[in-house]
Amino acid sequence: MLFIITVLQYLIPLLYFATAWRYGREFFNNDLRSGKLKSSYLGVSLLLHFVFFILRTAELQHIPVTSSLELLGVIGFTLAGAYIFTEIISHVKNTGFFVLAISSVLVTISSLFAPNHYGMNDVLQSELLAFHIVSALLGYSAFALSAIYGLLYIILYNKLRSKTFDNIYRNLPNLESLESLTFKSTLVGFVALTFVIVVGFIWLPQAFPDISYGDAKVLGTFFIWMLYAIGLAAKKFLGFQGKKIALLSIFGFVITFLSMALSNVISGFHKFY
Amino acid sequence: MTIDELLLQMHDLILIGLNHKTASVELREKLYFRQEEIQAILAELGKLYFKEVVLLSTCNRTELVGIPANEPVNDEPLINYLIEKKSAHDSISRNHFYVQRSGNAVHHLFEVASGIDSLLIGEDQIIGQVRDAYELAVQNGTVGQLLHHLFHSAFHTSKRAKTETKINDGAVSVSYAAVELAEKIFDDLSKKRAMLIGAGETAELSAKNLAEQGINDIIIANRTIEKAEKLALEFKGKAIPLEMISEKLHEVDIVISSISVSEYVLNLAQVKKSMALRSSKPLLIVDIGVPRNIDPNVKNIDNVFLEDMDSLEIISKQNRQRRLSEIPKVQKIISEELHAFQHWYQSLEVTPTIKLLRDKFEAVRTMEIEKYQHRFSGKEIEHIDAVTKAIINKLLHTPTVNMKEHTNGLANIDKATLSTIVHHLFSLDKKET
Repeated sequence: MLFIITVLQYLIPLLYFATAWRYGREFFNNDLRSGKLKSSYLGVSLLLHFVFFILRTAELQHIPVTSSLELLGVIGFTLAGAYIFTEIISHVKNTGFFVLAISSVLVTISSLFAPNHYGMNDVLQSELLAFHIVSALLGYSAFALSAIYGLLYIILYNKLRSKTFDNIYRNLPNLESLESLTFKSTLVGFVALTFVIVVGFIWLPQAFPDISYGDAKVLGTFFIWMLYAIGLAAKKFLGFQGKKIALLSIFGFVITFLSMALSNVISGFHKFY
Repeated sequence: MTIDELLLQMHDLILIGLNHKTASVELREKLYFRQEEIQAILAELGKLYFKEVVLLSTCNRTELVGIPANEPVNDEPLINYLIEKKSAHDSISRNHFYVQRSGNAVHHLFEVASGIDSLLIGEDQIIGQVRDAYELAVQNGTVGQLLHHLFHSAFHTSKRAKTETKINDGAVSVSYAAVELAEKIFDDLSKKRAMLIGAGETAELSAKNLAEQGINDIIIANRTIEKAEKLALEFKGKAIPLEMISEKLHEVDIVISSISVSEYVLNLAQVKKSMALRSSKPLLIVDIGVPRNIDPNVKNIDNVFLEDMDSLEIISKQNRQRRLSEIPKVQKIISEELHAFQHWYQSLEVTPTIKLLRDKFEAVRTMEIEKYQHRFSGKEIEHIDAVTKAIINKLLHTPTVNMKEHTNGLANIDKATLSTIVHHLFSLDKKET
């Protein structure tokens, strides 16, 4: 089985890049063939990646969340999954390149550098933790997606204002759709992060009786939650629209990324191997 | 077989016409046939010259496609007939017409249907006009098997060109480019409100384009309120005097201004105030007035998109160039469809029909022998095989000879009639099971 896992480990990043390439070919070169094939490529990539997770979990006796490098692969997967879900419900089908390019990089780093440790830390033997992890992955993928759509909004906004009616202008969906996708992704991310925090607070004392609530990871997560709560309140009560929403989603994700990176270095837990 | 070789083989077809490449709009107008006129002359054309005929007449072309009753057909009387019918001898001559025969005529019709022969490359109005012309001819009983298949192949070519290439993408007229801009900002135009400043020709065209996209809520502002009311009545909109523009601005999402004024009808302060009232929701302002109607500084307000004639020109020009670059892809589709049409045309010959008929009988014979072969010895089967073969050959001898001899010298379309009957009678298109 290790042989199959190893083959998939190197094949999957290639598939992700091939998928991003197909989406890119359609977006930048108006390649109709790529337009027809792109969704199939993504479907196959996601399916094989899922199979890879199952086989790897069976072989190594732990789910791939024991280290940041393993998590990068899962985030790449959930980001691509969240994208295909968005593509299906919104019928906006040509922004995949921007999402899948990021997924490809994350999956590649994970495939190349994630260590193959056997066994699972006892701390991970909890249903609450599984719920916590799933919510966290969903939440951060949704925030990433919202930042990508926010960025695309700003790109199109500037192209319209500068009268640059090029290929990118032509192939991007309209501003209202991008704003709606940005907002909905943020909302999904915020709800998921709320679950992460609530479940985390219930699970944390059970797993680490002497944990400090002043830990960088706990504070960082709470800070991110507050940031998005303020953004959503600004939309609701101050009527923030269009460009402001897009900028807030990008700003929120940059802060989230920096905060997570920093707290992962400083934090005393969230290392389970 | 090359396309040129294929083209030479379709002897039965002729296409005569003039279009925007060969005649000016004044001349095209003179040779334009209204629907009632087409109905009247189709029957006459059928009696005088054609077995099958379709007449297409639009503002950009008048074309006659048909299967002549007698071969070889001279195009001169046909051209004179069209000119005489419109009494246009004084201005239109033989030189304004083109004549395409056989495969070239098919190729031309496919180009017309796919929009690459149009004045505005890729426009899709033409396929509706081709369809109307065909249906009118069907109603008048001047379409037979060949033109029926030819026009359906043309419709199929058009559909493929539209779905497999980008020949139809993007606005190519300046007036429609404003709608394309609106579609790049708003998701569902039918839920948006628009304001037209001015009630002239440009405003009317803009109202028409917006209405086509489902915008039913249109405010028309004009100095002469009567003109605004007239346009508002036509598009079920609301008329307001010019002075009320700023008051109503926050209620609309799209503004198209095409009025002739010496001062700006909307200044920075007015737009700022209106944006505050509409919670900074995006606002598209298209200023196509000369001199400019809107203060250019409004473009600096967040979520305001101020576009002008230059933007519209750029968009339409780029789209036109993009469509031109798609022509080779459409030509490839036309070439494929031409091959398919040729293949069908060849199947009209009686020889393939005879072969199909023999294959069908042979399939039935083989199937029956296989079904019962376990009841007989190897020797007996050999005898049965030989006897049944002889029976089939004798049964098919007379029809084969008759089909070959009786169709000698006939036009393909007449051979086709016989072939079609045999095809239907023996279900030659279905496999034996």
